[in-house]
Amino acid sequence: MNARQHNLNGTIMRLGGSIALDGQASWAPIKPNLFQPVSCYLLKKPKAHVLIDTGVACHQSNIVPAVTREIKDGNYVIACLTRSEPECAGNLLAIHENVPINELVTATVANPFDDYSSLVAQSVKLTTFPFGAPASFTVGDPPVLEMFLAQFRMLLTVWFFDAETGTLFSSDVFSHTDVLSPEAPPIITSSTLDKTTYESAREHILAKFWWIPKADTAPLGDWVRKVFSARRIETIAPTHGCVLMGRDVVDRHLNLVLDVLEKEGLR
Amino acid sequence: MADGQGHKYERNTFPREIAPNIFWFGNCLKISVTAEIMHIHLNQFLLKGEEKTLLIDTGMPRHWDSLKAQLNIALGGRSLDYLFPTHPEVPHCANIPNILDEYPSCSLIGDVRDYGLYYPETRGRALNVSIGDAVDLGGLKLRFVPAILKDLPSSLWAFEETHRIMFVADGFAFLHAGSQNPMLDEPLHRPGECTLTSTELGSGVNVELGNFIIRAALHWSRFVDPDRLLKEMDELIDEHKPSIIASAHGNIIVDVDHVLPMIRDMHHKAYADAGIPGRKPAASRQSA
Ligand SMILES: [Fe+2]
Ligand SMILES: [Fe+2]
Ligand SMILES: [Zn+2]
Ligand SMILES: [Zn+2]
Repeated sequence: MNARQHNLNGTIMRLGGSIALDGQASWAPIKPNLFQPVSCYLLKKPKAHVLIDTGVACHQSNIVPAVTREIKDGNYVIACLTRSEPECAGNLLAIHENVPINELVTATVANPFDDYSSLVAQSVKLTTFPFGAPASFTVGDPPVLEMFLAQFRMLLTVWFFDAETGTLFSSDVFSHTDVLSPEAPPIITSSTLDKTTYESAREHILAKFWWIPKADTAPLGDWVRKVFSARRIETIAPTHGCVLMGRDVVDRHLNLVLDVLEKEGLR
Repeated sequence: MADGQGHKYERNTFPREIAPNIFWFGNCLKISVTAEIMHIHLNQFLLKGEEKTLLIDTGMPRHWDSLKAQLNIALGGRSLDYLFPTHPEVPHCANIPNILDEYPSCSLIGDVRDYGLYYPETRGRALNVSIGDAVDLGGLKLRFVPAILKDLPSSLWAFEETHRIMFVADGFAFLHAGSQNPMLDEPLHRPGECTLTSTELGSGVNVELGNFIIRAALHWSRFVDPDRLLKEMDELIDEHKPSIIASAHGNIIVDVDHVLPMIRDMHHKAYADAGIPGRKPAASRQSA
């Protein structure tokens, strides 16, 4: 069936499936015969297993058994959501029914629209981005990940960074790639064909961030540049689109995103 | 007003009948921000046509029992034929499974992308519409129009042509009081104000607060040129001339001409005060 489970670099596993770009997803353009991976990630840390997002519900039969198989040692389980949207939280409760989640990390639960009352009732520790906090925040004790608020976003979004592997979890940004078949590996490396062009990246980015052509995008480009200059980013792991692995691939896609922001925004 | 079962729709309870056969349902979220309990509107609307019935938005799963009770009162024994979630964000769509379970012949209608991914059980029960399409409910007709003030790309607004009501989802959150907590990205009002229309509320619109909340809830408003956006909004309002604007997150606006300029001000301020260095005021950008 679909591209399911990929080991990224020993400690990070990519889980999920792919969807046809036939108009079923509002975040992507219609591209006949092309597909897009939709992903969540499992990080195995010495003292905790960390999930970044949980996949879409239609991939539940891929994701839940894989997570259950991987997390069987009773380690502390942290689920981090980049956004509180069904795209990211789609299998949260199904996973929790099989593998109890110990801690849920989100941008905020002070926003009462995020409905985790059933998790709260089961005494899951809730960690939210602290109100009035500095630009970034550390998840886990001992620390496992950096969490920071995304400025280039639609709804409230946090990005996570794993310093150990240099992996950035960028949610719906850097999600501008697609693949030729549902079985295609959801990963672009320096040795795989990267068919992404300015035009294809532009189409994906504008499908989601509909306001860019009406926007002063310079501050967003500045913010993205700062994210990358402050961290050694070797891999970008978005919630949809391919994983981008290796410094040259990361640089190429960073430049594509910056180019689209600069050329498609207002001048 | 009263229905055939003797129910009275009063101004201080939900459901409130805001025009003949059009009902305002509410489940405010109650939160304590500072010492004060604040409310966030989370509205749904039922259109009860002579032939078909349609619900706009779903609220949160935690409110399902309350929504079901309000539906039972307003439907008066009829079934629900259509559910129109304005966009696939939790407060607007998360009760889809509960509603489709409760009403086995109900179909989703609207821009129905994403729901097949999020709620696979809805596949085969969803009717996709295009902007300009209308659904005739018998005596009521709902036309789908572009969402101007929105977050997710598949958001839709809709206009009921008989009573001239514009349903605007995340737009026009009509504000009276609120919190300054930037982590709360939804608009607030005070207890007791839940079911009031804009002219029944005692206090005026708080433009400062409105500006703040627009920046928080519609984050892109810090970057988008308000003149371009408001021009699209003016064109839509001019075309349809609504007598009521019904927002998912605010009190019902019945004095549209009075409130529109305030909403415009809020969007101008949200952009101008976004704290972005070197930005020219919006007005001079337009003429440049
Ligand atoms: Fe929304
Ligand atoms: Fe909303
Ligand atoms: Zn209220
Ligand atoms: Zn203006």
